[in-house]
Amino acid sequence: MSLANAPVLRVDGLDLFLDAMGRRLHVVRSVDLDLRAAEVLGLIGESGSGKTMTGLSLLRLEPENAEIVARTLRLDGADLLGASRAALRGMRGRKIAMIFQDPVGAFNPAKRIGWHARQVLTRRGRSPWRPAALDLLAEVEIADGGRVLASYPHQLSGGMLQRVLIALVLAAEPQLIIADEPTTNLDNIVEQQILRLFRKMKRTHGAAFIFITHDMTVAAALSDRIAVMYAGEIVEVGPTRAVFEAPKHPYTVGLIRTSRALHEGAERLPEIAGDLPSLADARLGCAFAPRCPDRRAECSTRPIALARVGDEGQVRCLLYDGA
Amino acid sequence: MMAGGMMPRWMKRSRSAGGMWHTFRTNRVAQVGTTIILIAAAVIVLVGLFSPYGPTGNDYMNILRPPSLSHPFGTDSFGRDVLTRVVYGAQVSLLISFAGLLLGGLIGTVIGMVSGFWGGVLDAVTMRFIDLLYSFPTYVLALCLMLLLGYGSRSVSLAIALIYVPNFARLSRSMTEATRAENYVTAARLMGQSPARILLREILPNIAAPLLVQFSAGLGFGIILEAGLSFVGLGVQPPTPSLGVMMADGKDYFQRAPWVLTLTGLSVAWIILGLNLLGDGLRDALDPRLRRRLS
Amino acid sequence: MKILLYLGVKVAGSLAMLMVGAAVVFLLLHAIPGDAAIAALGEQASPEAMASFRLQHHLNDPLVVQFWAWASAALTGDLGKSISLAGGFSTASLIAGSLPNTLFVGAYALVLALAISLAAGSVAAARHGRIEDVVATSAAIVTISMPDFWLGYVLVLIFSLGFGWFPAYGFIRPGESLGGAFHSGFLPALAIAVPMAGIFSRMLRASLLETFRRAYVVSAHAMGFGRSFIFWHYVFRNALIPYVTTIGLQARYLLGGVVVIERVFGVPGVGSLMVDAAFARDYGVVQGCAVVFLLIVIAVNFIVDAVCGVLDPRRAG
Repeated sequence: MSLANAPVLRVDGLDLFLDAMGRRLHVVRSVDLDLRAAEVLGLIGESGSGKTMTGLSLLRLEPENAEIVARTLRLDGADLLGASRAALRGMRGRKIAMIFQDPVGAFNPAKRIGWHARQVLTRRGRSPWRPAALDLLAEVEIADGGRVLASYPHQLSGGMLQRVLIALVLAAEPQLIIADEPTTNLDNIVEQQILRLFRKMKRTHGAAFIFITHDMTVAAALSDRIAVMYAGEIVEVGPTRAVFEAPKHPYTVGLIRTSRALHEGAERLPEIAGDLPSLADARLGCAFAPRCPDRRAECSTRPIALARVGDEGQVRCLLYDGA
Repeated sequence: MMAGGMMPRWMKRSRSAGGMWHTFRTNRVAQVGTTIILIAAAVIVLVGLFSPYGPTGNDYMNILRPPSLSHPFGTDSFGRDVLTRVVYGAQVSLLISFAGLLLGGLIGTVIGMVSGFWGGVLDAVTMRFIDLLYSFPTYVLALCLMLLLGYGSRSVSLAIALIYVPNFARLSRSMTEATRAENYVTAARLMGQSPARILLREILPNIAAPLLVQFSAGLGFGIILEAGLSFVGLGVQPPTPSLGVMMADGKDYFQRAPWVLTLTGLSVAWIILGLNLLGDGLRDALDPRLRRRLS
Repeated sequence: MKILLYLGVKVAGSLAMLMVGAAVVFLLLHAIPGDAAIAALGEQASPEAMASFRLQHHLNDPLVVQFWAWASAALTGDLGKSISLAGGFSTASLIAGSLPNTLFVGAYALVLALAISLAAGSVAAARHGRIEDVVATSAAIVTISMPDFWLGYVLVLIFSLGFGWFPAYGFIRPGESLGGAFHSGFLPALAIAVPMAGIFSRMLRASLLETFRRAYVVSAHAMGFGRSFIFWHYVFRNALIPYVTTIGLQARYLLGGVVVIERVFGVPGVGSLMVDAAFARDYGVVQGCAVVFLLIVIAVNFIVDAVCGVLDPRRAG
């Protein structure tokens, strides 16, 4: 049992390299993360920002052709980097769990939901498993638990499957839950239901969350802190309110401006000109510099570290360095 | 991980044919296959040109000699040089198989494309007949056809064609059905292009590649089919040398002189191996998603 | 309940296909030029003998009537009499005598092919990219490229004439001696099985490799399941579906191979009978054999469909 404010997750200098088609891609670049119990961190970024890979790394579920390097990668004190396969397997589904973007893809299509529930619950020592399963399904607001347990995954809707997945995750009472775009494929009503469930989990089970998404409003609704990723790097971290009301990094500024315009129903959306930089090349200086309206000459000459700004925020930008 | 809405590569217009060619050219399997075929072709050409022996022409002094320098594959029961006969026989077998595959491929593809494009009752009924045709064991179908048409090379070709019609029909139908919904096809329909034109100019180029893979795989099996039919006595008739006829001949004195049948069969296997590797290389050059449909 | 309905529809469809197939064969064989009466009795026979022969075999009736007579008799097990091959014997008895041998060798071959391919395909996929995989994959494509009857002879050369472990020719019926049948049937079954095993193992390997990359496998890892558990229940279980489907697709080639192998090894099966009947121009027997073969393929496909329906809940539902 960790203390209320003790760090659940400590990540220091996490790098992930992908060997694809003869090239080495530097997909995650020196990422630092800290997370405490019952804290929700919203990890925001567009496709290709490295957010999903970061999430997978925490479970050590990186793909076969990937290599992970880190100074520190600890979950509740346990080292994830050097851990044996058996140790990792022991942690997955128990101390750390993952909720995927495509709920249909999370289940074995050849087996009923009840089979999944039995596998998860008997491994947690909950035997007989059926009453426990029905309890969990009720907790995620599924009305007819018996029918769901008897169904095959393809017979249930995406929203229903996502709730079942959350129920299975709850069964383990993990300390850290990584949710990778869990509501992207669901319609708005269902999305609200799922978000409500997440809030309940945070309240009653005290789980820490990393909520990976590209949707700013969803992140804002749930998170205590926000981290913004761009091209594999974390460019800004801070309390949700601070980041949204007073964004520092030019990329964050652009994102929030676009998001706001979207929600206010503007006719034209402000655009961030330019493209993502290549993940293969070495990088000197700021990744965003070529697209940044406030760039200076020295932005592309030297590596820029995350600098403190305000009470709890950090930014990787020369505009705030030394401020 | 892929951005949503990205079209599978094989569905794009054949702009990507160039990319496919490059992949094929660098693919190791295809290279090995091509090498094998080239070696076989070289042997066929060289022996055909320079062999002092003919495919027929008995030499009773030299019956059933084991392989030696003057007869690399030995001689058969008539004293004929086996290597020369294999070379001629290979040409005959290849020709029969090619003709049969071509005919079957054309008919099957047309049936499949028409069926897949129009759908509905026509599609359902046609494919049931195709399924029925596919349910007959290969030699059973061939045998009935040989009885109907008489023996000989032409009948064997027709039998091979009939056997392969369902393969091509099924493949082209499923591809056509999938491509039918594509944007460029809809655009062509709206522009008022005739269905025949659409099938020929829009759909066919995009489904051609997997059909080619099917063709190369079928070519190999066609040779096996011809060999089997002739071996049983229902195919090409002697003295025309085909690989099957030679193996039928070789079986009669197999215990005394196993090299005739063994080496002939080995040559068959060599050629077919080359064809299969080529086909595999072709298949690898396509989008991997396609491979499952072709297996 | 849904499974029963699904199976019921399949049975009806199979029976319909069988009837249509029989009709097609019937039409095909009756289109053959030449007079059956002349073929049976010889050209010297008197016109009266030929006329009575034609009457006896209903050769003057319209084709539809002839087919209907044949079909209704067939349903009761009467496939007519052999005209020229084994004069006087009923076709049904000829086929009944040879069918067990064909089924034995065919089933033997199928079991061997499955055993080899399940092992080879799994190993190749598990050791993907390594030496075991390369060896297995190369072996597979080589075996697919060889004519099965040629392989039969090579096997005889090595294991019969060479080592003397198996008989080179001749087949002991399972009715006489089961052990003898297994012994004498091994080489013929193996000759058919090896190319089939090549095709099946390639399919299984590809299917396993594809299933490894599926999202639900990653998810299973995330739930903390063990590797061998995931392999059997997630990967293998789902990869079986395309594998079993392939078995159905290969049935026509498997049985085709049986026909030729029966000649090579002297197995007195339906294939051998059919070839002999073809040479003797005894079309009634050819037809009977063709329909029986069609029935076997349809039955195999039916079983494959049923198994797939069980393996893949998305199909029936």
